[in-house]
Amino acid sequence: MGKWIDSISERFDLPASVAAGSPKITIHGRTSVLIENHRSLLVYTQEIVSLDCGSVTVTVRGDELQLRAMDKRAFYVTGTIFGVDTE
Amino acid sequence: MYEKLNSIKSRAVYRVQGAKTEAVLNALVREGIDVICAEPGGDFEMEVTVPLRSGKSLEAIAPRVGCEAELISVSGTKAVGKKLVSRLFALVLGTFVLLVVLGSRFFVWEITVSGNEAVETGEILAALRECGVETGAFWPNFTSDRIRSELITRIPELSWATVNMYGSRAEVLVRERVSPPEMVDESVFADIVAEKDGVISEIHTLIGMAEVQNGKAVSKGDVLISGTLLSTYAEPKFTHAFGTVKAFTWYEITARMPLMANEKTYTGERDSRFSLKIGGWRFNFYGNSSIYDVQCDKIIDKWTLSIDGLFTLPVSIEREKSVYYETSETENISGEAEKLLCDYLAQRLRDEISGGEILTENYSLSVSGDTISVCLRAACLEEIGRVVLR
Repeated sequence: MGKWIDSISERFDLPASVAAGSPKITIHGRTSVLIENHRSLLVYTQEIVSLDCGSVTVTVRGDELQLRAMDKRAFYVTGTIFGVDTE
Repeated sequence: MYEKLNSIKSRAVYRVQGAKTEAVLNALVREGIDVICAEPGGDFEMEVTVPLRSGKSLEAIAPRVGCEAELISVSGTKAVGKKLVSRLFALVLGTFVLLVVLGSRFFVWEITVSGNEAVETGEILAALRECGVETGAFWPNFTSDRIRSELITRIPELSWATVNMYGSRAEVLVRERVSPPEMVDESVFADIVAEKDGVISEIHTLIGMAEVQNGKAVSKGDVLISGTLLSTYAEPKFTHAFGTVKAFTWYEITARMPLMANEKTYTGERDSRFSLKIGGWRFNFYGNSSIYDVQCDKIIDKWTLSIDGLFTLPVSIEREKSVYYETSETENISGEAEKLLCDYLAQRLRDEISGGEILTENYSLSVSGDTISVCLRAACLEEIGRVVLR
């Protein structure tokens, strides 16, 4: 379903925000990351936070990472951010 | 509104332990519970902060995903409010107890009476009650002068009284009136006669005429000092005789008692009953029934909620301890019986001679059947004169 919506939005050149279900990652400098549209938390340590976002797995690498808020839709993590990977 | 505000701001911090602590966070968000904060503590451990209202849900969810949740702390307005309420309650309770203790000092909860011998304590307490001095009375209203005058008016046998307050204990000190000595009316004619049989030892005549001399045996009723003064040259003069007459007297007093006597044997059975007394009310923690034909010693212990000299509260607990016994007829030990009888006879002799001197005393014991007898034979020196009005 997510892949089908992604291909539709790509074909019609629609903005990414319209594509429901795809993860939206907002990075604020090196101190915090907001990840929206996640499904579940896979790994949570002080160095790595990994989230299942449906078609993608988002991994935040950093130091002293701390989960500051989490609900059904969004995940907000702070700390020293080294990088954000998607697989 | 406040409830909502409190539930938003108040939070609970849990320590979650398990193989997959992330699963707790996922389960929480699936249940619609927002996670405020989460910090990985160490291996298989995480501190999770959730809204206070969701704490119970976390405690229920954690075991479902194979973890354990332990509450570490609560914070926020609701938690602070709870603390404040508990502290406020403790403060109010402490203040209330303090006020009760301080307030109780101004009321009389115990009255003790001392200094009375002839007048019964119960009579004094009854009179005090009429004067307003009773259990529960507000003692700052007391004035010692008023109580003294009212008490003396009600009990003429008292000459002085005062009330001293020690905390909530009223100590009533009284002094009894000393009866004035009986005045002798010298205008009334009187003789001094013998009160008992005896042999005169000493006779001192102050007024009147001695009718007997030393060494003379007299019987009860004989005139010892006559109030009639005879004169060869004038008419007899009548007066009130005065003087002292000491005489040797002899006594023979016998006392008996049975050789068999009842003796107590404790069965070992004991029973305790408690009651609470608050002011004038008594609450018994036992039924009203009693068995009267059971023989027992009753010992009553009373504990009052007080610190001596500081305060006394009108709360006390009484314990009525019953120690059961049976009686059996046993033979009196002869020595003990003899001692009992001798003591009794000696006391009786002292009462008879009232201030006289015992010169010799001899006790003889005899047993007849189931009765033991002791006979006291004594020689005494005592005052035998008694004033008899004409």
